[in-house]
Amino acid sequence: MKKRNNIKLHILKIFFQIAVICIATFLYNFFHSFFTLAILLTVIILPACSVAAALVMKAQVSADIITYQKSAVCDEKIEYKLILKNSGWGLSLNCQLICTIENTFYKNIEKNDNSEFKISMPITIHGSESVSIPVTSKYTGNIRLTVTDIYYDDICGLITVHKNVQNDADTIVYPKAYDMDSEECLAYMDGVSETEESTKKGNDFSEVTDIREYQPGDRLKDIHWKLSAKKDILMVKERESVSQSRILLVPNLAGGKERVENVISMTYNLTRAFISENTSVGILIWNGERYEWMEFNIYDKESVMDVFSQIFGMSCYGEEIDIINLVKNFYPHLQSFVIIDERDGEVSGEIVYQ
Amino acid sequence: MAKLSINKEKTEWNGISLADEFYEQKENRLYTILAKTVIVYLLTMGLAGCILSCVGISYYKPVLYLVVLAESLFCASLYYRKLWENIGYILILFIVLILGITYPNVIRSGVYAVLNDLSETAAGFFNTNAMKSYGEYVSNRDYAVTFSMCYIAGVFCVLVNICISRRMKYIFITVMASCFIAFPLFLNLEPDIIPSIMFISGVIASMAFKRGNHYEVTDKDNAYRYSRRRGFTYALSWKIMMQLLAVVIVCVTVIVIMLEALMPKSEFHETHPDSTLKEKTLNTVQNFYMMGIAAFFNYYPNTGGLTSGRLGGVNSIRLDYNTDLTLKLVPYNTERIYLKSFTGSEYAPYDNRWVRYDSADLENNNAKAYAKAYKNHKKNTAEAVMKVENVDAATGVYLPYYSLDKDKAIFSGRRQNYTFYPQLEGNNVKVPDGGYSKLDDFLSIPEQNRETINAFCSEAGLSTVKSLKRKDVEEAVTKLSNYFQDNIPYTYQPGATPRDKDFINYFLSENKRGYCAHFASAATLILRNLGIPAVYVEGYAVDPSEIEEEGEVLSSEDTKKYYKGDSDIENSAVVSVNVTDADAHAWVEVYEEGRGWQVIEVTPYSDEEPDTNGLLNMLMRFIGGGNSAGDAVNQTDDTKKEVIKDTTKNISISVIAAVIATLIIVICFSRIIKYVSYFVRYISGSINEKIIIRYNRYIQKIGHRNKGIKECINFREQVEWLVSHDIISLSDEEKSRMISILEQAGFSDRQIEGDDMEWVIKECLRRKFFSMQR
Repeated sequence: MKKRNNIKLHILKIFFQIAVICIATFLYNFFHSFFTLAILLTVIILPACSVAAALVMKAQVSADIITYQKSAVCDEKIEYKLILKNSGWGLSLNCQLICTIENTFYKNIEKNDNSEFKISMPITIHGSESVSIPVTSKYTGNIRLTVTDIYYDDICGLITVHKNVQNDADTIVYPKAYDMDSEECLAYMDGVSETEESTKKGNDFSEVTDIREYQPGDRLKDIHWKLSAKKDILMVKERESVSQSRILLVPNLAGGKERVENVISMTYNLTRAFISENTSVGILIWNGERYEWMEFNIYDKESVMDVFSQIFGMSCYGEEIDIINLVKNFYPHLQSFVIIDERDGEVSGEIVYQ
Repeated sequence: MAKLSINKEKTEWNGISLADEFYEQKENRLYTILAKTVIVYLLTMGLAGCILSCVGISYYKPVLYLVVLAESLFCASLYYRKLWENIGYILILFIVLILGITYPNVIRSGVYAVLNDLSETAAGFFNTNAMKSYGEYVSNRDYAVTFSMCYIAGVFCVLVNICISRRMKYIFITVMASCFIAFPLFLNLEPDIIPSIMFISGVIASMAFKRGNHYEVTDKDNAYRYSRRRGFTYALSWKIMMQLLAVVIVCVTVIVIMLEALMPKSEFHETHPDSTLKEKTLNTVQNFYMMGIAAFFNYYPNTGGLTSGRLGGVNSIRLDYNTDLTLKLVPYNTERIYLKSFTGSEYAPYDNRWVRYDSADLENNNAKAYAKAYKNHKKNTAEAVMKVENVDAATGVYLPYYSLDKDKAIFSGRRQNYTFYPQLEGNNVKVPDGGYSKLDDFLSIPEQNRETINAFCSEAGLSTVKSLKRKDVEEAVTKLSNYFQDNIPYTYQPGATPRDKDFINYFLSENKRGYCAHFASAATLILRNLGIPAVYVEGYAVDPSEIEEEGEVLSSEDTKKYYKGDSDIENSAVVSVNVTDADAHAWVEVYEEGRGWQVIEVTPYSDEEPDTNGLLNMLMRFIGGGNSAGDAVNQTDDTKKEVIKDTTKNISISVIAAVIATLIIVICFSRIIKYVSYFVRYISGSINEKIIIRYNRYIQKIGHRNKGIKECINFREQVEWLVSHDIISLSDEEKSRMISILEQAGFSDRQIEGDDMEWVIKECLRRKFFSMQR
């Protein structure tokens, strides 16, 4: 981190100001007039007041970043608002805010710290100035805009005062949703369900939350035969899964940015597809810092967004890890799971059986 | 769209792009124009108000204030749109022309009214009768002043608008405005409080805007722009402009009002007398007031009075203190030793010169009488020899009193021995009247001077002498000398005589200050008016104190070869004295019955110091037409026309030289500032900044010869261009490394490694430098 001085003197401008004072002094000594004395006093007092005001202003200036857009999808515009507030009577024509913008999800991949930019705004008396910063992100993740430092000049430009601030605003960027191939989705589903059901017979992995009339496409096993007979129309049980081991997706978030992006997009859309098929999904994300798997369970459409926002709050792996063995080691009882990874330039899911 | 000027590299960070909408945010140009209007108004109305209130002239104040406000608003509004700016300036030009053609007399009258009032104040301040006056055509002065000030302020508004609104070039405007206010201030006139506050606030606010770097009005009204150094920066903010103006106005008002409370303006000059510096420049300013820029140039060369009878063309005497003559003599009394070079008998009015009197009879009578007395061994008589070496003086005669060697001229670098018969104390030798018969010639006064001389004599209480006896003549001379001493100050900077005026009339009735040539010339005519024959004389006058302090005793020289006879000083040795142009002098010879032609001194005593020698003086001497007294004498017969021609030529050369010198100084100064600024930034910068500064300087150097590199907008393109044009030779790997280092240095906070820095600066940039040299 660059060392930032709290006060920086502008030597050339100070020399120039001294030269102005010398000229004003000479003029006063020459003319001995009220007018030149007024000029002399002004060029002495005003810069002094300006510097003093700038020093006092340090406690009264603050910067904040807000966004009302907590989520977005890739390439969608996200609007941040950078607000510079001043509760005092000072002002500055030249205030620079040092900001960083980053995707925290990819912080393990983006090694070069090239996310800093400066933005200058005026500091007004007892007021606030704001600028809207619209950005779009090509990648999914957690976009964080942070304001880290405030630098402002005094009115006469003789000094620059530095103040540390640390305010940020996050927006989750989700992958673009697309419809999965239903056959592909069912293949995963059948493969994993059969394994689960065959190994844990007698267990009921779901509970009935509602009963409604039959609609074409409902599965036969969901028909409530007793009630159907009683009412003389087909009734079906609406189920919600409570099992932790229905379909377990394990995305491989290692490698390059494009690769991770494809994997996460696939995971997201697969999850949505499973959920729309009333199949609960579990996602395992490796937490390298804590050396454990983070397990996220998704039962309905609403929780898809929540879970993915939690996932984007973490960060991708950066380096390759041995996912299969790690899963097997941590979950020895697990019969099967789906590894989502990119192979030969294509992202696909692979069902792994133990 | 501002997008064109955006460095696209900095609009994307790791896949996060700044949306174009950011640059499409607009500043409020209408309010910005209002803020700019206030600045233009403060400066324009402040200046106009200061000048008018200094002069104390009456005018329709609310009308002027409102009209100037409207003009300022109009001028500032020109920046609303490019098209409107083009149309607006044409419209202004059209209005200025129409008004100038339609109401020339009103405009002139208003300006003349201000100048006349100022001139009246100046005449009082300088205590001179010379007052410039201009004819006013319009009887309603208030109307004329208001109209012309609205007109002039309008023109000034345009100028201020161009300088301030666009580029905030406040220094130019301040210097220009100061030129207008300086003269009233010099005359101890003070502007009113309100215009003072307006003007000072305008200047200070402009300075603050300039330093704040957010002032430039561009053709586009985008709120934000991007620059590599400053990042995303707002262009203009009317809100901060208004607030800054308010703060500055309040601060200046408080300072001025507190000052007024502590030291009331009306009593200020009573408690603060004029500064010594101001007093020293009084003559120069007076000359400038009376003659304008011509006051800074001499019409012909001058070395302290030896102008061979030419008068009035010298604004200021500037001495070089170089030796003109070297004298070897035996001091014989404690009086001044006069060396006569020029005698003027007839004054040519308006031609401003004395006609040389070539006849030797003036000196001869006295010399012959004293020589005869010495040979007859009369008491208090002597025969002396003065060896004069012409070191750097004009070729001519430098005759001590009284000598018969009138024809012994000394050329430059040569020596001459003059035998003379000094007039010692107690010398009662009677000088015969015979030898010349035209005494009336030395009583003539030109008609053009008679009125002035008569008026002066009446004013000074001088009357015709009863006789030409020593007592009566001395009484008249003493009275005149005393009057000069009491009423007309001696100065080295009297100012040249205006071309249409007579030298003596101007001196006695208007300018009333001068140096020896002024006093001697005027005294000659005044004494003639009193009935005393008199002639004007130029030459060198050596004070005894000079001989005593600076004279070198020549013990090897035989005193008897230099001096024989009585002496007022006993046991004198031969001394050598250097005579400089500071000893050049003008005096008067008057005729006394029985004593012949006697030297009289009418020049008042003064402790004023002449301009010292220096670079400026050398320059001024050059402007004045050279520094050699020889030139002066050699040009004795030149016509004034030729002199003026020479002077004009010199002035032209001087002006060209001054312009070139100024240009060189400005270029050198700006270069120095640039290098100092570069040095300071480099020294105080981080490693990243150092790399970028060094790199940019190299790119600039290359850019001077190769325009193509200027089209490269980022480091990558620049490096690739350098490599492709064989200015530097880098392998692909080295190229990538260099681009990476530069991008990291330019756009990242991560510090570059010392090795990388060394590699870029010492390896790559040096390679570039050497290849450039080749």
